[in-house]
Amino acid sequence: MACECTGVAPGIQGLRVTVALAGNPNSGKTTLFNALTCSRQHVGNYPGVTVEKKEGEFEHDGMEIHVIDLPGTYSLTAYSPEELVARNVVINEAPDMVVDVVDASNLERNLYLAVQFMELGIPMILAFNMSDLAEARGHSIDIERLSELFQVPIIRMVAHKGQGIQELKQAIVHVAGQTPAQQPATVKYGGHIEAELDKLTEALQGSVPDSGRPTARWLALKLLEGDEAVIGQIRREAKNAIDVLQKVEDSRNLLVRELGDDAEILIADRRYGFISGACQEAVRSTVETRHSMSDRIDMVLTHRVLSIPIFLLMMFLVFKLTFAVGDPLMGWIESFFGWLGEAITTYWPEGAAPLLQSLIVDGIIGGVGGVVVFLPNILLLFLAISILEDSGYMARAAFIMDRFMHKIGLHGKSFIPMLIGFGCTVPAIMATRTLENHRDRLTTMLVAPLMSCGARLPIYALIIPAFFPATWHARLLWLIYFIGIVLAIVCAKLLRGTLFKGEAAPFVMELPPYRLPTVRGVLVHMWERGWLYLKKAGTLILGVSIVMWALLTFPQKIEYSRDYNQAIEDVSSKQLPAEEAEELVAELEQARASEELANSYAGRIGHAFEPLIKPLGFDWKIGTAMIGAFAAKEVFVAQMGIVYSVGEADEDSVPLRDKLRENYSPLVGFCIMLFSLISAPCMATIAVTKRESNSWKWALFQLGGLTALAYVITLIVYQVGSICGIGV
Amino acid sequence: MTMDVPISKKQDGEANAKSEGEAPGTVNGCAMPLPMLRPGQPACVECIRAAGQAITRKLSAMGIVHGAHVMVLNSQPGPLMLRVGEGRYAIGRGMAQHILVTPCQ
Ligand SMILES: Nc1nc2c(ncn2[C@@H]2O[C@H](COP(=O)(O)OP(=O)(O)O)[C@@H](O)[C@H]2O)c(=O)[nH]1
Ligand SMILES: [Mg+2]
Repeated sequence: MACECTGVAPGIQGLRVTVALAGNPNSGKTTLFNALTCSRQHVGNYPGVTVEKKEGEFEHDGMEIHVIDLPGTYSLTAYSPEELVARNVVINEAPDMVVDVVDASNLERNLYLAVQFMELGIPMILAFNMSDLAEARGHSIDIERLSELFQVPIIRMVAHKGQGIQELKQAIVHVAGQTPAQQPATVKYGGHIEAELDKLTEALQGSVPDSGRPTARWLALKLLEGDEAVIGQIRREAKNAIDVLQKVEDSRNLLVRELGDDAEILIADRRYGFISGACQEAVRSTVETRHSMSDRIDMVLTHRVLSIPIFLLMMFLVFKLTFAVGDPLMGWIESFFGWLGEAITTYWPEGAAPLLQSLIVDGIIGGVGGVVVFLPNILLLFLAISILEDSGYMARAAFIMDRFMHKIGLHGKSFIPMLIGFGCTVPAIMATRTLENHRDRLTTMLVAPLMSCGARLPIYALIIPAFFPATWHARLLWLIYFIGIVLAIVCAKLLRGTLFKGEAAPFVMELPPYRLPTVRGVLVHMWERGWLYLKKAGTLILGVSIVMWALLTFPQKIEYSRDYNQAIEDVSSKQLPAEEAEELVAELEQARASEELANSYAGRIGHAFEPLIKPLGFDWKIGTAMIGAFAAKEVFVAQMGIVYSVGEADEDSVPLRDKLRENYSPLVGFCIMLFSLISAPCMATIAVTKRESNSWKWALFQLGGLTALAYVITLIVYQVGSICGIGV
Repeated sequence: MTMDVPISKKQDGEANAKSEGEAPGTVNGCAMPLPMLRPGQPACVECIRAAGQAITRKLSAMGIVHGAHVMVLNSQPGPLMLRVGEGRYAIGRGMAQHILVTPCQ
């Protein structure tokens, strides 16, 4: 035990090690990650799939330690895409060490993953988190004994209180300095299985690169378990793949004959046997399992009668919070951008570079400001969703909704991405990662844009008050949201009945215990999602605003139908009463502006589209704005402002509403909202669908399908409305 | 031990004796599909039958294996709420049909 000393082995100074934080969902990985790295962390993407990857750094005893927070996983044989990411990082990116965060209050199940890491042979530390809960539930764990049995260092922790953090850091440095690394204990599977494992290990020798990890034995074990990813890997990489896979088949058959069960069941049984053997020695439970506090809450929240009203109330509160609290905040942001634009205009040197001034004020501030205004709404919605998630209610909502989602061919878990979709479609599509079945996942992804996202709100906020009396406002807004939901249901059912025919994946989901969410946890969670939206505003929308501004501003040299400058001079020379003269000048200037607009590139494009959108009741001006809306829905409002040259326009702009009322009927107003709701999701959505589905095919299908649907529905509504004379 | 075991599988050597020839879900003490279990009744998992490899592995990872102590907590239609040790799971009824349990005490 000479190596037990605390002194740092020579050569460690300045060393850099990578540590992966793994563990079951809700075991406290993220809490631990935050405690370890404080603020030195950043979010990136895993290559290939858009799963936000959180990495951070800290230093201990002069060692630079790089930490990766992995998505939760129950087993190293992945079941969901999310689990696959976690597993691939551990297997392919070969971190120096795994810290397996174990929920000590649910020890045996959590150790199932730990045992698999031990088999992988990667240096590891077990962080026994939630030790406070374990003790409160009457489990007393002899950590030293367990550590001896597993041959792995174990640290007792209460992550959200900071207990055990120093000890864990110390252990990481210690393990990193060990050469050779301590070999963890492994499960002995007993005569028959071991014999088959030996056979397969031998067959694999030489046919897999012997770089150490994963070992041939580990691969053999996974093959025997039927792990598709490993089978695929062998098929691609091993020279004698056919031979190996045939041997696997033989072994599996042999085990069924000898032991009467499939290999995956036998292996799981042995692992649990190993775990409970160890726990019998090292864990004493004074209390029998009984109904916990959480179960009692569940008796109410998932009650057969009460569950639905409670669920509806929760949803109502979520939206109430989003809108009631969000509105005043929006006002402030709006006035800030208004003030900024004005300040720049005022202090801009007279006559200097008018194009640049217009670019900054109309293009950039107008465009980006119009988006950032919706940040409070979106952040609040994400705040509410984070509270639901962190408290454990979200899983219950999925549980309650499963019955209904089942009817449309999806299952309860699809409900969560759809709810997030009301905030922003981009994180919603990313949230489909929790769906295991590819068909369920694609269906959810494709219909998610029909959940009216926060970015479409400015359009409704502009149009509804422009055309409809105040008493209708709330009802119309609900109607639009409702139409989106109904369409999503219909489309999901259609897709499941045609393109994605087949059984829904079986529904299995953990219901985590109810917990009081922590302020920090909720805020971080909210921010991570809101950040995606802000990133979109900062990059895509900024770019598009500039492009749209250019399309509207150029070409600058145009042939006017008359000489406006001359006409204006004429008016002033006529000695008319001041008021009358001003009116005439304003009229002339507006006529000139619309002529410029009609001649701009944007105007020309809009004109080209006019015949196509005429049957929907739209003119070229709406068409021009719709093109901008493809970049990001909320751009529509700013576009209409520019098109009607009412200057800086937002959804509260009274002059713009006046213009709309003068030019269009309420029916057209409604059709604009309808079209914006259904049609082409924004570019960011298409991009994220492409990445998450891993193919352009589905992204383009989403784009084309939704736009066609929008066209047909708007056409019907407009034509029927016009014929029946409703709102014309 | 290597004699051929027809259709019904035995769990382990010792479980062999009783698992044969019993129709599921009839008498108390016999294996029955999980959805037939009365809410609040403690039970032991006998086996997972014909659920497919991926699902079986998933259930194993959640602690639903031979010998696990379970209890159904809810009684409404829709998925079952299952207690397995300290874990709580929602499990669709279709899938729950594959889990055979025997009630205990
Ligand atoms: N009682 C208790 N709660 C904890 C502990 N560590 C984390 N939590 C809480 O457990 C919940 C889930 O933690 P999180 O880090 O999000 O888990 P993850 O899914 O593994 O990333 C959060 O509400 C934490 O505040 C702990 O040691 N004891
Ligand atoms: Mg986490």
